[in-house]
Amino acid sequence: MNLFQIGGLIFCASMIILSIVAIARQKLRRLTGTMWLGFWTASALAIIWPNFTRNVANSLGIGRGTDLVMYCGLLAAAIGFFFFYLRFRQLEANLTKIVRHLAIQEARETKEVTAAEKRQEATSKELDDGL
Amino acid sequence: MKTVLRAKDNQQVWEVIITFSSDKQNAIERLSESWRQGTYIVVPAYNEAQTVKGVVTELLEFYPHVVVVDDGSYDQTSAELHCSGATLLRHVINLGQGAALQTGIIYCLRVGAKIIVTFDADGQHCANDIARLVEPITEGQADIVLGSRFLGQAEDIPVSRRVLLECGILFTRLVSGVALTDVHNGLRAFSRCFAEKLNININRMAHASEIIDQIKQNNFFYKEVPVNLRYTEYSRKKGQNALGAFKILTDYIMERIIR
Repeated sequence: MNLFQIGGLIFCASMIILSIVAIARQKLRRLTGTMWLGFWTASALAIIWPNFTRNVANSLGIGRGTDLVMYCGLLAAAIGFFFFYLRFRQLEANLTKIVRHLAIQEARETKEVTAAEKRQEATSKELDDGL
Repeated sequence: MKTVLRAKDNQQVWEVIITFSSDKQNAIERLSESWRQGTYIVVPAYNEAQTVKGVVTELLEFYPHVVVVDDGSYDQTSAELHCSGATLLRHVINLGQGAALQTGIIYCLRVGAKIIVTFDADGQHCANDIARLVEPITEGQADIVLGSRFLGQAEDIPVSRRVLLECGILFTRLVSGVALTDVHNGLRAFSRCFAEKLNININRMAHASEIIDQIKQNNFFYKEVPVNLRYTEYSRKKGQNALGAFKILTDYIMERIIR
C-alpha cells in the first residue's frame, strides 16, 4: 500500500465512523446516512482494490472505471442540487411568511396607534370645548 | 375634462396628464359607493420614491383604500408616503413583487375588502382604468378582470418589449391554456372569492404566470378589458429586458416542476 491509499483509507474510515455516529444520534436521517455510508464504503473499496471500479464499470458495459466514477458523480451532483433547491425554496417560503407577518402586524399596530391618537385628540378637544 | 398633476423633486419635473373620456367617467360614476368603499388597491413598490407619491395621490382621488407594500426599498419610498392617506406595509427585506402582492392581498382580505386591484407604482397605469376593471366583478360577470395594453392604448411601447410580451402570450397559451392578449400586465382586479383562493408562491416576477395558472386550475371566470399604459423614460428603465424574461421563464418552470 502506498501513502495515498493509507491516507485515503484513514479518511474513509473516519467518515464511516462519523456517519454511523450521526445516524445513531439522529443528526442524519437513516436513508441519507445509509447513502453516505455506502459512498464512503465504496470509496474505501476503490482505494484498497484499484481495479474495483474497472470491474464494476465493465460489468455495467462502461469502458473505464474513471468514466463510471464521473457518471456517478454527475448523477449525484444533479440529485443533490435538486434536493438542495427544494430545501432552498422551503427556506424562502418560511422567510417570506415571517417577513409578511411582520409587515401586516406593523401596519395594524400603526393603525391602532393612529386611531388611539385621534381618539385622544378628540377627547382633548371636547374637554377644551367644555372648558 | 383634463387634470394635470405635477410632482417635482431635485432631478426632474414629473407630469401626468389625465384625460377623462366620457366612457371612463361614466364607469366611475356607475360604481356604487359601497363597491368603491369595498375596493382596495394594492400597490407593490420597490425603490419608487420618485413616482409613488404621485401614484397614490392619483388613486386616493377616487378610491379611499390604497395599500402600498414597500418591498424592502432602500430609498425614500416609505418616507414619501408618510401622512399620504395610504396604508403602508413594509417588508424588512426585498422579497419580490409576487410576495409584495400576496402580502397586500392577505392584508386586504383581513380588513374586509370586496374587490382587490393590483396597480403598479411606477406611474405606468392610469387610475381611471380601475372602474372599467371593477365593473364586470360588481356585475358578477367575472372573478378576475385583467387589463390589456394591446386592447387599449400603449403609448411608445419599445419594440423589444413588444417582442418579449408576444412571446409571453404564446407561451401562456401553450402552457397555461388561457388565451389572453396581455399576460404580464400588473393592472388586475379580482373578487374576494378569487383572492381567498389565490396563493402566490413565486416571489419574483413570474408570479404573473402563476396567477394565470390558478385561473385555469380553479375554473374562475376571467375577462380582459382595455387599459392605457404610459411608457416614460423612468418606467422603461424599470421594465424587463431579455435577461429578466429568461429569469421569469426559469422561475416559472422550476415552480411547475416542484408543484
